[in-house]
Amino acid sequence: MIELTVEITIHGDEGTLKLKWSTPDRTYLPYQVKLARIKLHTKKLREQLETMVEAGQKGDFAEYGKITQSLAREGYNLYDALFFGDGATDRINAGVVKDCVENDLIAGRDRIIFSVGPKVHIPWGLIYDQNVLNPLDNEEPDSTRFRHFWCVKFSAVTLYSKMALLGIDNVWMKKDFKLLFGAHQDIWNDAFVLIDEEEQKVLHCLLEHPVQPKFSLKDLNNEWRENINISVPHGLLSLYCHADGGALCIGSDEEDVLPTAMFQPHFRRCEASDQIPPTLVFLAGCKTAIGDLDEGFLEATSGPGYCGFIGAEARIYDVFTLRFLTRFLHSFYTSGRSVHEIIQQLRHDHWPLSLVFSVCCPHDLKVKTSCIPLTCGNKIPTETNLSFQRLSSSKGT
Amino acid sequence: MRLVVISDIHIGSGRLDDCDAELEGAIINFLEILAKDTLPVELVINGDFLDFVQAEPWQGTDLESQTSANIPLCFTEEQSLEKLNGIVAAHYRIFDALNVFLSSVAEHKLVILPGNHDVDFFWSEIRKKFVEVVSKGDGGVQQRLKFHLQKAYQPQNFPGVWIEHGHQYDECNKFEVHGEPRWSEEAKPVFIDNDGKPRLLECVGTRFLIKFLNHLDAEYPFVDNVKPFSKFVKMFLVSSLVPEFGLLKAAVALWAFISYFNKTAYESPVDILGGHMEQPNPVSLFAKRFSALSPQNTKDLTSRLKRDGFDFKGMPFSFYLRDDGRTECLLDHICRNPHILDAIREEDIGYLSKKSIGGYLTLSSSYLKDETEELKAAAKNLLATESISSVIMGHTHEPVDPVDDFNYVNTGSWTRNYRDTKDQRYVRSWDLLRKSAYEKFPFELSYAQHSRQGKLILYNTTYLRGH
Repeated sequence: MIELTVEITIHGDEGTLKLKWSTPDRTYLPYQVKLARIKLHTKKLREQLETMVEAGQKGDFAEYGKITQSLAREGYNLYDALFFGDGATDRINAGVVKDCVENDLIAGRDRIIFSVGPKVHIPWGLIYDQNVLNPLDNEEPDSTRFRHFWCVKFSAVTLYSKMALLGIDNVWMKKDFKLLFGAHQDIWNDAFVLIDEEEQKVLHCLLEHPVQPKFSLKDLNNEWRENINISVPHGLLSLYCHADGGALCIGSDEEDVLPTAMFQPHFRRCEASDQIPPTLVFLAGCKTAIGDLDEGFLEATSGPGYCGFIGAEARIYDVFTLRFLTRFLHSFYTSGRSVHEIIQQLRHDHWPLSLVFSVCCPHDLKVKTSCIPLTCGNKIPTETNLSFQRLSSSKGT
Repeated sequence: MRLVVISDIHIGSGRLDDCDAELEGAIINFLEILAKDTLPVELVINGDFLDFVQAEPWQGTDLESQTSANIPLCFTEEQSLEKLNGIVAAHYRIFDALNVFLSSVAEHKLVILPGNHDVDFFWSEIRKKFVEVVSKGDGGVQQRLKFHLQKAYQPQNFPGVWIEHGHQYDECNKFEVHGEPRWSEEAKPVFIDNDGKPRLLECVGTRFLIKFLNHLDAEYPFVDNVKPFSKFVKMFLVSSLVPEFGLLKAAVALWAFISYFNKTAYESPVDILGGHMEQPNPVSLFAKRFSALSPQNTKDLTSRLKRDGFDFKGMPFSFYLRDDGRTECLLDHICRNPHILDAIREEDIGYLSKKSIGGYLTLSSSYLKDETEELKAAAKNLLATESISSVIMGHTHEPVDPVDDFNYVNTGSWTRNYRDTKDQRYVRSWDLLRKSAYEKFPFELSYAQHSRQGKLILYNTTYLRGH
């Protein structure tokens, strides 16, 4: 397996991104690309995602194929921008890397990791490396037809460049693994009654029935600190609430708004010992993967004791989100499979809306199989593609 | 015979009436002087003599309607008549003075052209009532009082003179449907509404006044006296987007206006703000404007909104405003229910100063342009026609003097209008529009006269309070 890493830093003065690609065996010459070009295509990509989600919300499932195609087209523009060097030398250096990507990497086997600074929030996983100029003869929204999205093809993930990956043990013991689940009560109440009975049972099991999610920041914070104090911090923090790229909103009071800058002070981990697993955060709310120049959850969830997050690149709806989240948690908790494997499976099973989620954490995080309890063995039907089901109780997240 | 042209007197009634006692006195004085003139006078009132839009009743959903094809309409003939009765009752002395003018010399004539504020003259009952009030039953007077219901008036005794109110050149105030003018005997600005009632066509500017500006005007009497209209929108309403620079009510009125414009007139509502909106996204400015409310005001406003059934979707106010779509929902709701803003006490209003962002909030004369220039351009086109040698317009409230090579006059307005002052650094924006700022709003009585040589002359008399 080749693991190609690209370190990306922003050059604010010049309005460029500097890209330095490397594999464990080789470092490529760096080059710069125009930030404005990247941002432009990012914006268009996310607009297509929004269109796709809205189509799903309206039940216009027949539109998925056409929209996915447009998404792929924008993904290709981003691909093009990624290798469009700013100057002549940049273009030569970019060409060498592009050559490697196109000729040396093998889909499904090799991986690309984007290692970025705090101010770069780009949906790298939605890069599409094939030109889709003409309409496809078959526009069925089948993940195999659109297999060139990098999140599928190369399991592209984004990692915060300053995250201390060295201390991260990818395999967690069950005893270390506790789930803290916070939810906006209105959203939870509205969506929970609309999901399948099996899904409800799984959630109850995961939340240690009859324990409910925490419905306020204060309760979440208390629970978090209690566990830190007994040296059993939560390995998974899942927040199902209103959100955007700069803040979460878990209740109707002003005190329930958590801006990114306050994330770490609220969920402090640096007191925890190195022996315990870092926390993975699932931000199940609208646009949580979209940050701007000053804020974003990438940096907030990559401090000491954390290993990043999974978030959304667009507005998402409550029922779809809860069902997707339930499947992720269930699989992560019971299958022993890694984040990478689970997300790949979910992307395929719930295509195309699964594209809305970005992975910003290491690939191989998983719970050790021998530690998986049998008590949460409820089955969730896998044949249902959530993209073609009711997405919403009416409220977004 | 002398030709005398005036316009934009805006005689109304009730709280929004711009014609105060001092102005009324000046108008009567002017008519008395004309009455005594031994030379026969043809007095042309070139539009907006009466202000039906701001005459009482000026509030109420029954003042507006639409056709089955969604063409916006306003008053019925009955409503216009109620307004006229109010105006006559409030200013009977002016109508008496008109009677004296027409009675004093047998050749004196009065010609009334409707403007965008008194389109109601297209109703036959309004004309009948008006004649009845002015003539007091005198058949001779009735003979010499005419209404001219066409785009322009060309007096028989003054060949080459073109008199037109000018609103048909103003995007906000022109009367047309699907690009076709509705301003003549043949194509009256009257349509049948959904309930089968004939009603007047409503231009964008009128709708803005009825829906939004009249509410502000009740509290800020000079709010509609900053003319031209686009200047008002740019200077005051846009200023209200900046926290500490203006009323939140005004910001909401602006939103309502651009939303209305968006739905009815233009594809891009921000166009109305021209190049003065540097920010690409005005919605975020509105959000900032709301975010800048004091904690108490925020609390009061959210309580009121919740009581009114507004759904915050379980979010606190500050978070709700973080999304443009949600902010638009909030603004739309407040526009539909403007009373909600009564829940807040307006913050201290800041200054419109030269220091302000990009200079676009300053009270500089650079804004006295837009409609004025549009009308000038129209006049130039008319003067290029061989048969037209003089053009007289009104509407903008900004007097324009004729120059050697451009025989065009704008008679300005006989209402109070904002006058630029040399030291404007400490002029408070919205305070300026309160009654207490009376001295900043002088009135200027201008009238056009046609000389024997065919030249137009604009006579101005500036009456400042205390003079």
